[in-house]
Amino acid sequence: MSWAAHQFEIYAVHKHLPKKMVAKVSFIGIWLGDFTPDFLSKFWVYGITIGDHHYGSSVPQKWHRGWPGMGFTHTLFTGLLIAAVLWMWKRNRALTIGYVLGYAAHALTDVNDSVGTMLLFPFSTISWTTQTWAYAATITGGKYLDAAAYYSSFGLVMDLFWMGVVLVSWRVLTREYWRTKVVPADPHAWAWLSRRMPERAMLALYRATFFYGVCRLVSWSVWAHLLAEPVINGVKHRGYPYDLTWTGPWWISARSLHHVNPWIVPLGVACLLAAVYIAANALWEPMGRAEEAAAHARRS
Amino acid sequence: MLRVANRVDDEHAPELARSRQLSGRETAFWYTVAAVTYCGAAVFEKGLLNWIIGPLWLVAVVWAGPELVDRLRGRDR
Repeated sequence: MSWAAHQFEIYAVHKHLPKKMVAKVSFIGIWLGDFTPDFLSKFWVYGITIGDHHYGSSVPQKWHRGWPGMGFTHTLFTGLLIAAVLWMWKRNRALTIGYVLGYAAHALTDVNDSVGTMLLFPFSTISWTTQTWAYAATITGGKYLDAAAYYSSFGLVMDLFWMGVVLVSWRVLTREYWRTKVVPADPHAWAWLSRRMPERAMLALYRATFFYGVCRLVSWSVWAHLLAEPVINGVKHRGYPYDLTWTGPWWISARSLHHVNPWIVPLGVACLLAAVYIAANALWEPMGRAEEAAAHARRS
Repeated sequence: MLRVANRVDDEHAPELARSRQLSGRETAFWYTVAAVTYCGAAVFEKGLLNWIIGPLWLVAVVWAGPELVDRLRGRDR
């Protein structure tokens, strides 16, 4: 799985929208779309232990990304389905398109761990994965071992990459960008908030996901590499060892599901990304007209 | 102060919450305070590292911190 990458990518998506969508796609929609897959599936991955009994999935990777399981939550199909419901309910183009883009970003980013996502669901339940780092959610290790493995492998590089993308586009975090590109796409939500909190708090709220991503990256890395004292193969270590090799780290067995050849995954992801982009572009004007018509009908 | 949006009808126009604007240096200070305290606490208590507490931590520090300091200093606003 990806950790802080999901917090960073939403800013990158919003900053790199097609020209005609600039300041017109909802940041809240992107955030919701990116948040939904893990919100629907992750609570049971680690589970909880009460007394001597563990409540949670018996095979975390199957539950999280497979079928049968909640793997359908990490598919473009589910993203489109929820977006269609959202559209029928709200008739809000900014929110709907934002939701699809955020959802797609999450599902496509998660192909990088050793489990991947079922990109062609429901037509196929085979996983698409590049196996760049180990999927390490286990019942016994829980969140701690998962975090240690992620921040010792190419997962850390993934987080740093997305953080770099946001920092290179640093204007996305400025007050000016928020005022001119974010607020106009969600006027009612920000107006509602502005009656309850000062501008600096709203701006902090907008930046808060980036802040959380950075702090998450730093805190887990500090713990995993400076404070933890794991025993691996009978040897006590001061911090979990880094391992920037494919499907690393070596000290944990990478979980996996039945998957396609990893070499075709980048091509598949590029095709799906292009399909999402083309579909969003093609639907943009018709959805705008439908939104106008719905607003007109409401007024009259 | 933010003028929220051209698409909001007059009847929905917000009564903007009052607060003074922070200088760049103050802003940097409060964001740093939020980051250092959150990371410091979260390293030892991982339960703090979640979607709700993380973002709220920043908002709370940036919102309440300057207010608190202003009150302690008795600054007129």
